Amino acid sequence: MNTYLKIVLSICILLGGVVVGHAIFVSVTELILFMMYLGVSVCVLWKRGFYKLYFLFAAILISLSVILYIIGPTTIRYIHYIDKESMWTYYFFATGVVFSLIDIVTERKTKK
Amino acid sequence: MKIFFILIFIPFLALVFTAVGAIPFAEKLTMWLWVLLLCSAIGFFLTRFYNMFSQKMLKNYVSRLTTFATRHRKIFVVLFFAIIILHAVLNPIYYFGGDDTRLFYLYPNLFYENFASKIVTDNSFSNIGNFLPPPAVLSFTLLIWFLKTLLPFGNLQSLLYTLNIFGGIFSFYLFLSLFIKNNFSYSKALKIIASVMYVFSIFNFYTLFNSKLIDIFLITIFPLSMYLFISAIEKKRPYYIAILSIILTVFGVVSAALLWFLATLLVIMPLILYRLRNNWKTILTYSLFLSGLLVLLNFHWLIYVFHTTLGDKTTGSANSIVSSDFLNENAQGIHSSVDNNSLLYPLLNLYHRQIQINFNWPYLPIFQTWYMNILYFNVLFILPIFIAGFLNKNKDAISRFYVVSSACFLLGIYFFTVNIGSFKFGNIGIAAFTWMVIHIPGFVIFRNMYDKFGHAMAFIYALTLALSLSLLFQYIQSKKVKIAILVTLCIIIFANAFPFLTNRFDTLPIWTTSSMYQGTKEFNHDYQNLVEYLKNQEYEGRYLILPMSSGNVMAIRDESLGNHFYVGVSPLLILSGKNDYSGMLSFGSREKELNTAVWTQDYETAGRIFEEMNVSFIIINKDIPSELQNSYLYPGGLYSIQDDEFKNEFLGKKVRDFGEKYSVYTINPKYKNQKIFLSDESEEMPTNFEDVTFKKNASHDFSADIHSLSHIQQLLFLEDYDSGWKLYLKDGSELAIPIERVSSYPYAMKWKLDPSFIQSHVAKENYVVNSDGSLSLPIHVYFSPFRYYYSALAFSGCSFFLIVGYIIWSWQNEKRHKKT
Repeated sequence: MNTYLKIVLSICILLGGVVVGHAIFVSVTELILFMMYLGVSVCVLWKRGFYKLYFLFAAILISLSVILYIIGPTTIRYIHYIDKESMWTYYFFATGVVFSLIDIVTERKTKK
Repeated sequence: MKIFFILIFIPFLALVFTAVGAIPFAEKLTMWLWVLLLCSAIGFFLTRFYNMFSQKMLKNYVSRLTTFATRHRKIFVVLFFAIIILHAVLNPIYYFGGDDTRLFYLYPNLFYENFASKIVTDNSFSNIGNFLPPPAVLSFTLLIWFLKTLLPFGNLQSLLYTLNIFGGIFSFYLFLSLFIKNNFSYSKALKIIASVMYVFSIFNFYTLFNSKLIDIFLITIFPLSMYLFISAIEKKRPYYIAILSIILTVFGVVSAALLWFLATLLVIMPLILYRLRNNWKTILTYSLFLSGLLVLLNFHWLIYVFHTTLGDKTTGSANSIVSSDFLNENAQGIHSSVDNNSLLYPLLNLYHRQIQINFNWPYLPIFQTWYMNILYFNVLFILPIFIAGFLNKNKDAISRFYVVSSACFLLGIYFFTVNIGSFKFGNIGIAAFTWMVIHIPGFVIFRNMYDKFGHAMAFIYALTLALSLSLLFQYIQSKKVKIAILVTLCIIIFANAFPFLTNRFDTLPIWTTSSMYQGTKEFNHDYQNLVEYLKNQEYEGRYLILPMSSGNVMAIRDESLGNHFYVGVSPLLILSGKNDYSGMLSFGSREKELNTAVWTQDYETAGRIFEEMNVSFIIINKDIPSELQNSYLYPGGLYSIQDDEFKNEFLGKKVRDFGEKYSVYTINPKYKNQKIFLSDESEEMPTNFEDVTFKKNASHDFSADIHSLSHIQQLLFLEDYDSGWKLYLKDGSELAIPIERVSSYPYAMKWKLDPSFIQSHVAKENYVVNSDGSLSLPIHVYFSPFRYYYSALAFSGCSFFLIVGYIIWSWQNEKRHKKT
């Protein structure tokens, strides 16, 4: 893909993410997590192999959730953060798995 | 030693946070002070031990001990299993109760005689609902009967549960071996640890081990089935499929345990299909072969499926699970169950917490006091899965299996949690699940997803972790690191299994009580005498147990363990052959009406329901301690509302006392009824029942003598409507009168008897014309589908022996081929 097109698309993804994220998410926490998700997506746009970062972010988010559980107060607000983080852990992991599956399928087709 | 600096630093930090008012945070820090202190102490002792070990003398001693243990390992293994199995067999405590009573472990003969051989009338305990014909569990009952003959004094329940644990580890190991080869160091250890994790998963504790239904054996059967199926296809051995068909039939996988089996199959289906992707034709052929064998082996009950309450919307004994009302009610129920589910817990290999709090589940104290404290360590279950994804290069088979298994894992977590996030426009997860329940035929069986997908979670989590670790082990060269990972995993698995291994789940008090327990040795003698008495009585009608519980559950005290009770569906049918109503749920579609009548003290309505549902005798249960009176069995004061005034309204003549615990009465003559009687067009109960006398010959056959049929009358039969019931005359010919539903109440059917029709269409030897011109005629009310019962049974039996013959022949054939 053309580099200029990649730049335009990256800006569109990130700006569009803010607008779409604001429209669909209930809290700022989710918006931040969504932007992280889009950040990785932009990386994948530049190099396909970067989809492994989804797994890394999933590992970081679940660790953060557990750390919050250990040190955070047991207020509803913190539980909300933890729930949102674990939800996004799931999405990061799921996206990583989807890209891995695409890898497997495309590899099989190439072999054929 | 650096850890000691942290130990000093933590109290200082805690003091700072206390000073600024962040006391909860300071408290958490001090808790970690203790954890770190403990870790450093363990570390200190381990270092000392390692130093001692490195000394030559001790090293030699340990080396000799290891050599001895390795040389005689078979003896040690046999001894270990023998001790555990002996302990299980000699265990005097049984865990009876629940929805299937579990009494077949002790009384397989009675279970067969009074329940598993019935297809109508006595085909559900205390009217709990007969979604499956009882012969569906016939093969399992026969297996228990066989084992009971071999071990007449052994505790079969305890023995089979113990064997199930070992069987689960073994069969999961076999299944893992299909995906993980022994081509890297510690692969066997990894597979054993993953198998232990699968069996001792919290998801199994909360579902299969908790309900203790026949589905508990899925722990062994499911991985074994998958192993046999994959091996059969890959090795082209159709006799594996034959073995599988017998296993699935005997352990009720095609009947009682089907829902849990299908749920797990749904989750791991992508992996199985991916594994067998080059064998589509063989998959199809072998699946058809398996289906055919299953139909042959289960033919004896499959032909009676349409005579259950499964699809009948108008039945009096149970609500249908396919009615639109039921589906819509369930869609709402799904919301209340999953609204507060968080993905955090299943990701950390833990059961959902909020649902336990919302519904005050009995295991909640264990979860709060144990699992919430080890939650942090469970992150080590999920991290290897994510890290494997990060490092994976999709270059070999194991890495591809890892990816597909991860996809199954995501699917499993979704089905188990459903709530995967709320957005401003709604909740995609819940909306999708609700849509599937309403629109996909049969998906409603998964409506209790937190139960149905529990086993699937245990299975897919252990499988994905095993594949992730085997992938990671390719990148880790150091043996020490591998050992450290496996040892850590062992410790966390053991910590998660600790409440189960120490029997905490089974020794909890009965739900909503503080000092009443389940686990019994034998029923109290008064109950045994009552059962013995009822067993020898002629059948006259149903028994009603007062006070009624809110479900159809009964509490029966143990003879020697004073505060231990059987709590489950009433076992009267199994033990005495006489069926009863024990609670509000027993009255099926009339439950709400009866409930309202009891709470508003509308005795007339309650009495009418008893009358129309054929209650002839009342058993008063006086042995309900106050704790149980105020428990979930009688919520909101249900026990006290059924006071003496309530009981006296329905009691007739006392028949007999059984100690101080039970008394049997006839029903108040005001509500007298009879199983078979003549009525006019209004369908009302007559004041006397002298026109008809009846006798129950078998659950499918009632003989009735009509003494005086003078004009057109309705012959009413107080039983669940089924078009299979027919009238037969003295000479065996059918009296061809169409069966109709009773219009005034749901629990009955009727035939319109016209004397002139009978005189013109029936042979004269079948009736007598009385002096007043009325007719007397003996008839049989017979459940006509029973005619195929023995033929169907013989068909299934013959199929079984043919399949066994085929397996032996194929096996021998294969051996011969190998030799040549």
